[in-house]
Parts: sequence; C-alpha cells; structure tokens
Amino acid sequence: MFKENVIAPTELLDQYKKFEYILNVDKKRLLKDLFNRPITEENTEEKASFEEIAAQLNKFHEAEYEILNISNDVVDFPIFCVKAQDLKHRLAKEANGIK
Amino acid sequence: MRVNKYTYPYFGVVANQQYAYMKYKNRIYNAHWCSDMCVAGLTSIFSKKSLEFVAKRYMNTNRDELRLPLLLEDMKKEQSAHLDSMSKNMTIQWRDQLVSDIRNNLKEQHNIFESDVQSYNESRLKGIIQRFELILNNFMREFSDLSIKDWVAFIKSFTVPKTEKGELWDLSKEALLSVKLEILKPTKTDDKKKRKTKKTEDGAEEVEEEDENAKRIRYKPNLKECEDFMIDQLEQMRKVTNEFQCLEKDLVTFLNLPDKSSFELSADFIWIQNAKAEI
Repeated sequence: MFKENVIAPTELLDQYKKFEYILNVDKKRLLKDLFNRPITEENTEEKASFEEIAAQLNKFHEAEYEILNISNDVVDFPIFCVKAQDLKHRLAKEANGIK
Repeated sequence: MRVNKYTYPYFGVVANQQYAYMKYKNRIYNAHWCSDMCVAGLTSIFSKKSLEFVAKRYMNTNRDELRLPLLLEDMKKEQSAHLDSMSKNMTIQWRDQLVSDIRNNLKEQHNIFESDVQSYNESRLKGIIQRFELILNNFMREFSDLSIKDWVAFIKSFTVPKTEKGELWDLSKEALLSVKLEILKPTKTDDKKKRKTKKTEDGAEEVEEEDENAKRIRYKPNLKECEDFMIDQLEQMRKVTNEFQCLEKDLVTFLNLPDKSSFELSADFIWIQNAKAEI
C-alpha cells in the first residue's frame, strides 16, 4: 500500500533532480570555458563563439522556464503533501543567476 | 457429546442417563461463579470497565484532532503522546482499578494474603482470579486487534481504492504527511567521490562517479523514514500490549509471582505480520 503511493512523489523528485546540475555549476569554470579557455589545437580562440555562448545562455534560460513549470508550489498526492515552492524558486533563481 | 447414531433432533438437548442434569443441578449451581454474588457483581464491574477501554485505540486516528497533513516530526510526537497516555490510562484507570475492586470484594471471603502456592492452587480464589484473567486476556486481544486494524485502515484511507479489485473506502480529502523538497548541502569538505556501479541498457556495467560534495535535491523527511514510522507504530503497539501485566501478581501479592503479560503479542504474530504486509 505504502510502496505504491511512493511512486508518484519519487517521479516528481526525479523531475527536479534533472536540474540538480544547476546547483553544482562552477561559475568561475564556466566563465573560463567560455571566455578564457586555453589555446589548443581544437580551440584556436580564447573566447568561445557567439553561438556557443548563446547556446549556454539558452540552456539555462530554458532550464529556468522548465523548473518553474514542473509542478505547483504544493502537490497533493494520496499520502503525501509535497511542498515544492522553496526548491522551485531557489532552482529557478540559480538558473537565472548563472544566465 | 458425539452421538454415533443419527438422532433426531441432531442439535438439541440430549439427556444423559449417567450424568443426569437435574440430579447435579445444585452442585453445578454452587460450583458456578454466578452463585457467588460477590463474583457476579465484580464480573459486571469488570466487563463495564473493560468495554469502556475496548472502544479506545492505541493510536490517534481521529482526523479532526490531527489537523492533517502533519509533518513527520509532529505526527511522531502526536502518536507517541497518545500511546503514552493510553498506556498510563490502561495501567491506572483499568488494571489498577480492577485490582483494587477485586481485592476489596474478595478480601472478606478469601485469603488474598495467601503465601503458600500449593494452598493457593487448590483454593477457590485461584479459580476466581483465573476467570478474571481470562476475561482480561480476551479484552486485551480484542483491544490490540482492533487497534492494529484501525491503524492500517487509517493509513489505507489516504490511498486510492482499486475499485476493479473490489476495494472501496472513504478516501481522505487531506494528505497524511507533509514533506518538503529541499537542497541537501554537503557536509564533507574533502574532495571525495563515490563510485557507483550502474548497469546500462545493454547489460554492460558502467562506473558512475558521485561527488559527495555536490548539492543534492531530496525529500525532507525521506519517504522511507515515513514508511518506517508507519510500520514502527505496530511495534510500539506490540510493546505496550506486552507491558500490560496479568492481575494475579497484584491480587495475591504474598506469593511473589513473576511478571507475566496478560496477552503476549509476539513480533511474528499473524496480526502484526498481516498489518506489516498491508502497509
């Protein structure tokens, strides 16, 4: 009985977990990768191309939008009432901050 | 009595010439507890008091009182306080009260200060006490069984019944527990990475590195903790049931009888096993 009712909340958790990487983005490293990368055979320019920078910005922009649309602030499951508001806004803020 | 030959009426009164009821009627009446007005009166008090308790439950499953959904910590506190209060009431208002009533009523006609086990075992007092023990055991059985069933039904009322399987119950409008999605901040400062082996779709093993310093998203409290709490309540009910002692030890105190549960509920008892399986 209990196990069956854990499935839906776990799926919700997994949806948020997809964006866990946002919390662990090393901003300094990201900046370095885009604007101050070492010159090698593959990278002939120190600064990334406009398309590459735009793709990165777009990735976080889309992530922010997706996070805000994963669920309501409070999700009622049969046994559990999940409060997602704080996490949702924190994640979205982080994504926006990186952008 | 089993009648070898089919006798009409099959169910009914069968006269036995060897043990004629009418002949032994007076002896039976005198031996029966109802002939003793004192015991008859006590039985009435005993049953009344016990019936009052059987209507109660170990766990608080009153939704109006609980104000759901609750945080797991609050639910733990609420259930623990309710169980403690029930346990104390059972001991003081039920058991101690019964011991006191029985002693007061029996002290005139019976030797409740008996110190010799042999004499006690042969006395009528032993029979009377055994009778009350059996009644109490029966009430404890019923009380424990109903409490366990009530707890399972309470949890069940928060789940959607599978009507295709013939299940039907009143689904609660509120959830049972409130859980929060939160970010788990790393506590370790060392640059440690955990290696996890994961099987890929084609069956090959893949080693995944999990950074212990990375922030993670999780439920607080963990859903497993919630499940463990629900199951653990069965164990708590079992403990309180086993702590409820027989009356005999306190009725004939001079015999120094050992502690004995009125109704021993073991962990592998069918009620507990069924309840665990259902949860």
